[in-house]
Amino acid sequence: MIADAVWWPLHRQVAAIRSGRLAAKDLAGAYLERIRQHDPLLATHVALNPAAMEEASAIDACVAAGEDPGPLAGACISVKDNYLTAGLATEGGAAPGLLSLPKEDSHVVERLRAAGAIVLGKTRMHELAWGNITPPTRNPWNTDCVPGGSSGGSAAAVAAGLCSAALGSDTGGSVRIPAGICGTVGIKPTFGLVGRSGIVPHSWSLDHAGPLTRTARDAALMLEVMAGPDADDPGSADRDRCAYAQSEAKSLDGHRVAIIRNHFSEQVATDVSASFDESLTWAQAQGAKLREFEVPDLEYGLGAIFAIELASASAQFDTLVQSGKSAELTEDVRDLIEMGRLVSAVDYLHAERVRSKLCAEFARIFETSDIVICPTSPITSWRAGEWEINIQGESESVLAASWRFTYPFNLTGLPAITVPAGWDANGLPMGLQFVGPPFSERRILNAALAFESQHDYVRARPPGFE
Amino acid sequence: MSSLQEFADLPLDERRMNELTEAYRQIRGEIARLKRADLDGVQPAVQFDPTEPYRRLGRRE
Repeated sequence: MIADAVWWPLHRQVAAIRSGRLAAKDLAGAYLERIRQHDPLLATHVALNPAAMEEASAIDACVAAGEDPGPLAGACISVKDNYLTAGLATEGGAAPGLLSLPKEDSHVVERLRAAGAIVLGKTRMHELAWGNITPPTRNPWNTDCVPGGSSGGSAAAVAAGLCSAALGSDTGGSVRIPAGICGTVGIKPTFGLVGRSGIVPHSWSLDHAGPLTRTARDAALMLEVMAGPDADDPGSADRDRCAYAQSEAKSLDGHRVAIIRNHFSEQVATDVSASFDESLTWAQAQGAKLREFEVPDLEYGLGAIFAIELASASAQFDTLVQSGKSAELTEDVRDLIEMGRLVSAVDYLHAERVRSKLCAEFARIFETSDIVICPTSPITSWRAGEWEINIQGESESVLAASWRFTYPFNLTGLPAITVPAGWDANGLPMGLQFVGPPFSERRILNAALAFESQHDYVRARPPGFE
Repeated sequence: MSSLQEFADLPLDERRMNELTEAYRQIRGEIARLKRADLDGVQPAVQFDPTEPYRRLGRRE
């Protein structure tokens, strides 16, 4: 049973552990064994929790004693290396000791442990969360290809069945891009819904914390535990948690679904475009009413997020630059961390003004629409070492292309979830994104569950990792 | 030290400054486009809120 249970959705694993039909210790042991077996190739984890088996046994003892082991009892969670964790070093994807971070639990990890989750280990991330390749982690669907980033280790681990779920952070798409191109679910909640204290900051007003899971129902369950006020996060919203786990696969009948025709339809790989058209057909067959919009100021979105992210990350890591330690970073990340000082304050404020306009334009769309749908990324995964990609005859940087459909929702802080939406001709996963107005997580989860329930994508396992 | 190094407060040698400005050139093109946006009457999405520290204290209690 255990060989199959590692692939069960998290909610099924938790139900089995809570009822005593599955031992948390067996599940944790099976995942640790799979990591030992597959990580020499996949390189998803940078550290394993030496106390994981002991913590799992404590959950089993709790069940045996008839006590409530929590809503995530025995779920084995792999944690991105920018979340502080008690008992495990946090390096933020950098060389050991470069950031000198404490060994204490971040707000989210504290919540997960209190809910009965087991921290399995720390996942590899792109250095300082500034990139979308996550070397040397590989994509389980094609190990010559990258897993995306910056939460690449988390996505590859979930996709390869090496954990029940994983944590990621998303500043321009760092949960959703790797989730999309590794064939998992990933949700970036509304800015402020999930507290970020104890997560290494990258860009204060763009950073979001979110889970990567195998199913939308698992994302709902994780979000229900993760969400809520965080007194140590100035961006935290004073909102009570919703019952996200009660989300249902509701038909889109009567829903007003918005499609944004500019920006989101430009330079899209043929297979991604065809998959998106199929998703629109599915939505219409459900009874959704499609509405088309233009968001003209998306023309300035890339400049806006570059100005804000470069300036913010450089301010956050300025001591590395001033001390000369930025020279220890890999070349691409060093460039980004140092060049933020070249962004003028005027350009930064122009970017924040563009952001205001984008927020207003999306608010206008949601006056007459319930949900926006779009592909998660215009491209599928690419080969490690490849920096340019050909999209419909035109060459484009993979870095520029991969985040084009995700960063608008970091600028606007809107909730967005990616769900698996099939594979391209090369067998590489594609994602579909549902986006809603602020704090409409239940709505996008309902839509994601509806899509998931009528497609069989989430049950697929990457060849070689079954 | 060049004026750019001085004003950007970057403790880098000339060779590194040249590398960095070259790497920034393409991104700078995107940021420069912001000047074309119609921003009349638009305030930045940055708000000063003097009550925020008091609310944080309240949340801890």
